[in-house]
Amino acid sequence: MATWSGGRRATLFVRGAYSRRCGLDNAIRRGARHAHGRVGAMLLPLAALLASTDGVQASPFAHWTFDVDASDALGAHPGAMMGNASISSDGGAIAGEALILDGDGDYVSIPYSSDFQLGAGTISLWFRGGPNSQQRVFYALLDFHHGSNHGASHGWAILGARDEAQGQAEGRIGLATGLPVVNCFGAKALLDSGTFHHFAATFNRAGARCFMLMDSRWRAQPSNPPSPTSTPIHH
Amino acid sequence: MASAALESPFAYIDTNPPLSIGRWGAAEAQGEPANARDYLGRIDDVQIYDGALDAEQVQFLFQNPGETARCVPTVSAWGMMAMAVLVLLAGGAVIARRRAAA
Repeated sequence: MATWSGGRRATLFVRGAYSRRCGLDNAIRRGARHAHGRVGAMLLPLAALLASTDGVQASPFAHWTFDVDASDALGAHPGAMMGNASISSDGGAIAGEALILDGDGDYVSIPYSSDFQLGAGTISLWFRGGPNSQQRVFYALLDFHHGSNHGASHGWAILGARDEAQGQAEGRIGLATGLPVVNCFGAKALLDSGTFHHFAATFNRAGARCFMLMDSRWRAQPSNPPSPTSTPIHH
Repeated sequence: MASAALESPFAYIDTNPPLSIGRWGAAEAQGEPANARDYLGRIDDVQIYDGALDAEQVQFLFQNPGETARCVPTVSAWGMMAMAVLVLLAGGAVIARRRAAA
């Protein structure tokens, strides 16, 4: 029992250390299963400390799965479905179910939180354009007060537009932030109906950098000034 | 021009702005109907991180819908050295204990 107790303590310690840094438990659980011995109980906490000394990892703080409703799987930021927004029941989703929006008064509203005031962050989502969605000139996938005075310093949004100037129906999609401005636009919006696409944008305002991937391919282009803003953050 | 509209000027004040999924909150303040930029389609698995993920982690999200990015903690050179010292000390302690027992 003493051995198990030590292993359990180690498990809790390691989970706590990683959770603070990484917010993830999966790898910890796997590692902790091997921590039943005294040596493991001794070394795992030390390993956790040593491993976490180099670099701060990004942690997810909001995750809307839209499997049942607009609740946050991580608990802190539940949303409310507005208009006729609904959750699919046909499995037409990338995982579980998905949020359905009809383009006319449907959206999800999540109450303000200072968590959303990101100096650096990553936005990841999946989207699938509905019928005739290519006819929309502008649309917003995600918005935290971009385009307002309040958002001038920390607002951001994932926006899309049909690029009429170039006659591209698929247009562009990207990330825009308030000051300091970091913009990543250029990925084709891929609003064809019937296929889900993955969009991810990661940015760091301090370095005025961002990069954007669509379906895991780097699609960012240099944005409007200031630039360079499409340099990958990690090399 | 699309780019000009995307990067529109800041126009109104709301001290407690919500986060919106599928809507641009500043539409009305910009002189557009509130639903002018409402999204038409489906959205799934929205995640926000408090820092920058690297390309490998984004690749993980793409390949594993519904899961959050794996944390891959990196070990510093000093950490590696300290770990080696700890392993040597632990090994020495075990050997010393066995010798004492013999």
